[in-house]
Amino acid sequence: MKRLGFTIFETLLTLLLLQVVLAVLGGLLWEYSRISQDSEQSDLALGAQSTLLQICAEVRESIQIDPAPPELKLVRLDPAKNSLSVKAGDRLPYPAPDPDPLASWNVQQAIDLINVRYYIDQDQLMRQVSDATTTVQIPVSQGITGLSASWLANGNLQVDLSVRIETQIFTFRSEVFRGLP
Amino acid sequence: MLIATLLISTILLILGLAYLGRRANQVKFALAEQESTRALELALAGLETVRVKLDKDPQFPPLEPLGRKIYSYSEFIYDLDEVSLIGRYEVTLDGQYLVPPYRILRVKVVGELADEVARRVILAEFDMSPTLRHDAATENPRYFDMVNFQDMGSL
Repeated sequence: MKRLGFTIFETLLTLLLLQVVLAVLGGLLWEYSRISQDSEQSDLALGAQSTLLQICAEVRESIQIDPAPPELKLVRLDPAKNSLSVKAGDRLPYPAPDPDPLASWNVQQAIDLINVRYYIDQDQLMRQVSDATTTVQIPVSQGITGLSASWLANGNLQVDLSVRIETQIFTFRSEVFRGLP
Repeated sequence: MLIATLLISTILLILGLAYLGRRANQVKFALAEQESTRALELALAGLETVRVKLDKDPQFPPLEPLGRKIYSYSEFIYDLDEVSLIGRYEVTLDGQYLVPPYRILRVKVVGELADEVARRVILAEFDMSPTLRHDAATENPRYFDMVNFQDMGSL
């Protein structure tokens, strides 16, 4: 005769196995939540480091640097007018010019320069670019709590960028050699 | 029981894949940043050779003898064992703007890691005017100086 249902032993064994699986699942969920939190922290740290590299690159390209914590002001050539291969609309004439010894020209003409300002607004690092007619601001990095730049005795510029990760503040520091006179 | 097992397996699979994907992106980003920085250093090394050659060699760049406006060269960089290739830099000197009143030498340097895993381009300009542009009687204090520098990123 065919037996219906489960024996008490089968039921207990099933419940035990289910308990084991749920315990493993719970452990994994907890671990995932912890790692996910770590990943967010790593993202913030990576973002801050990447931003610091970008700022240093821009400092290297600048012809005037004004470190005024918590801001950093730069004057540089407008990259939009300084293409890799000179084209129409660039600061240099296109096509290549004929010699004109009587004409006047400046290597860094005011009309070809832009002002760049890095500042912090509500835990966001902002980059403001302005030329003679327009001003544009864009957020560069999140979670930034401090920006500081100062001249060192060797003539290099030290740039510090602080980022808040949970309750701690981490500061990344870089030193920029100024190649341009 | 079968349904519960399948459900739990699916949840575990999704969690595992999401976690792996996230970590993979972080590792990729960090590696790309590292390789990009190495390529930039190669490009800067190329620029330094230009600066030193301009400083030491009065015949450099050999544009006029060749009747050209553009002069280009490339050098491979090896590790200390002189066998393992690190990468190369390619320097292009553009003499089209050496004429007055501009008198600048534009230099493009491409730094490239071995196997082309990363490439960075920089653009620099050297002031080649021996006198001030608006005053031919006064010496230019920035003669042969690098007056403009631009990191063109990964082009």
